[in-house]
Amino acid sequence: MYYKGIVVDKSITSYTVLTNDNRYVKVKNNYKADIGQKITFIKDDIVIKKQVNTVYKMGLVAAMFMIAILSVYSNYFKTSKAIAIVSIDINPSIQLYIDKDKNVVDLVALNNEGKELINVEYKGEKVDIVVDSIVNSAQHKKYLREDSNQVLITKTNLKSENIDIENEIISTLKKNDNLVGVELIYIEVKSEVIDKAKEKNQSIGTYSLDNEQVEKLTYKEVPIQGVLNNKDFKNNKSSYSANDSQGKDTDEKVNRKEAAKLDKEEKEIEKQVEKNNKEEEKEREEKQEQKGNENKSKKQENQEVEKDTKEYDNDDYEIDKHNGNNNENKQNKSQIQATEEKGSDHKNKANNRKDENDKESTNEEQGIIDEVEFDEEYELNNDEETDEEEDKDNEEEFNDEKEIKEEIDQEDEINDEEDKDDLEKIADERENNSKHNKIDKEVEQKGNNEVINNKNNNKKDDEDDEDDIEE
Amino acid sequence: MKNLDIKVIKKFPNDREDFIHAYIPFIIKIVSKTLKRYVDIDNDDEFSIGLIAFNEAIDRYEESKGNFFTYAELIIKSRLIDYKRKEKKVVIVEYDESHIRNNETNETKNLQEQYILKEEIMIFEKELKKFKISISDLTECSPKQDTTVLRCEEVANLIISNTLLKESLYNKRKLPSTSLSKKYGYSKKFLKLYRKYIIAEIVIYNSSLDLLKEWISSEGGKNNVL
Repeated sequence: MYYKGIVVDKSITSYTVLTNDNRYVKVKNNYKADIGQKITFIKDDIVIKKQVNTVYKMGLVAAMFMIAILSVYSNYFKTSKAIAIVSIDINPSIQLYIDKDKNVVDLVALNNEGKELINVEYKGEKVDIVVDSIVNSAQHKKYLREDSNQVLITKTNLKSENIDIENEIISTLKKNDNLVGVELIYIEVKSEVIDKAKEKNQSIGTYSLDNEQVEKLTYKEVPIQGVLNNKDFKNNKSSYSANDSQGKDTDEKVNRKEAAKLDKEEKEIEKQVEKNNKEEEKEREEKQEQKGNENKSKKQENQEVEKDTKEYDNDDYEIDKHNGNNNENKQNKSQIQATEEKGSDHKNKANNRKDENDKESTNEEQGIIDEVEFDEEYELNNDEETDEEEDKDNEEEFNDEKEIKEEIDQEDEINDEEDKDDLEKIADERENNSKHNKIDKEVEQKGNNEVINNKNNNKKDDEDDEDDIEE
Repeated sequence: MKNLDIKVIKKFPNDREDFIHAYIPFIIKIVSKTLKRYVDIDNDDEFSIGLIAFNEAIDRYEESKGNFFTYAELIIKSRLIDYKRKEKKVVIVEYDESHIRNNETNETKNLQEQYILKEEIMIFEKELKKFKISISDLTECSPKQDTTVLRCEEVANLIISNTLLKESLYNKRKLPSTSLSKKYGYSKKFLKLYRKYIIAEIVIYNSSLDLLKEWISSEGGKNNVL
């Protein structure tokens, strides 16, 4: 079929042609033609009606636009329900997006190891179950071993709503019998961290730990087997704030009470050692009569004492570890040791304060104790009691101050529930019992004490020697 | 006409004619492509050369030469180029007065017609502007089916023959659709749809645009396919 026509009108892309059967048709201007020229053209040359064309084009543009928008916002839609991100860092790092019903909306693996652990079926499940199964499979795939047994769980709120998932996650993980010796670290961080962590290509958890962005920190061991190692996490030191959770198992409480008792006794021994150190220092101070230098040396010494006690603890711990699976003892001991460490920390802090306040006058007259007879020790204990009370007061003051600090500035708030519990208990028991029971107990424990005292004193002598050399 | 067996076509003249007839658009396309302009099959020699070349292609085609249409295209193109060269030679070398004069008259005739048509079209455009219609509008509302074209012509003829309707149209610059629908039973929708087209037709018929008039009405204008 071909058409003949007269070119009636010209435009940039086409001619309008009046065909010989009296129709007006648009023809592509493939070739040159003038108005008034008769042309013959075929069907291919006819332009499809413009209206249809524009509609088609508009539709195409709209579709493209929609696709572009969808591709940009598909992620947003996916995670729009999420109100919090829970990131799990073992070595595999995984981020879970949680909605307000504590269900997992989306999972994102941050590294290849994480991809192995992700299962599509996790979507829609409860957080605690998902976390539990992820940690479980991580252990199956040997990402959790004796030398790297830490699980870092980080919660970040995306919106103003706050959901509490800490207890659920930790309690489910605790119920899991497979996770022996796993250390749980639960932290909460602010949402600003998400972007910063993305920039640095780190997971939220590791970034916030590295940059001390932690709002709240909880440290758990499941079931308690290992010893908390302070050096691992920088923020642990400032984590002993007073206000804290209740709701622990009664068994644990009993255990802790016993532990606390033992702990107290051991602390007393420690204190004696420290006191002796202090007294020596003071004697030296008196001789030197230079306070600035004194403080420095004291601090150094305190640090050294701290180190030594830690080393001592670690040694003990290792020995314990070698001593098989006697769980109860181990638990007790580890608790004791954990608290001991903290105790020593605190004591050091308290001592520092004391130095500042010049309260030590009562202790100055005390000599070095090598071998102590009963009476002497009794006297000493009395003195110690006053000393301890002061310590305690200081500690309480310290805690109070900390509380206020926390209220003012919550960013620095880091809670270590268990340790705090222990501390609280120790504090309570000291308040209640120290005056009445201590004497009896110490009489009972005197034998032990003497032995340990000897040990400590030997140690202390060594330290003194070192100090002398330093000075 | 789907018999593409060239051997059969070669033998039977009727088949050959049908075959060529069916592929005139193909020939037009190739001719336009090589000449780089739209051809006018009534006046251009090039189209007849294309037709002859196509016929020649049928004669000379063998299966070993591949696809028939690529072969035909080749032949048409080369024949057209040959013709152009010959034409140039004729003009420059063989100074045959009678031939040239003949050629000139033919060309001038075409050119004259084209200029007249151009003028007529300009007048036509002006007239349409009075009705606020542009020529490009007409492409959008021109009917597709032959029956509608005929009905539109009917309406146009009716208005031209009826002085009352014609006057109202030229005075109001509007198609008297109400009286048309009431008196003659044309649906308002139809009149509304093809209003512009009908007016354009009336403008042409009711004027001295002879060439255009002849083009759309005369028998020669109708689809006089070979």
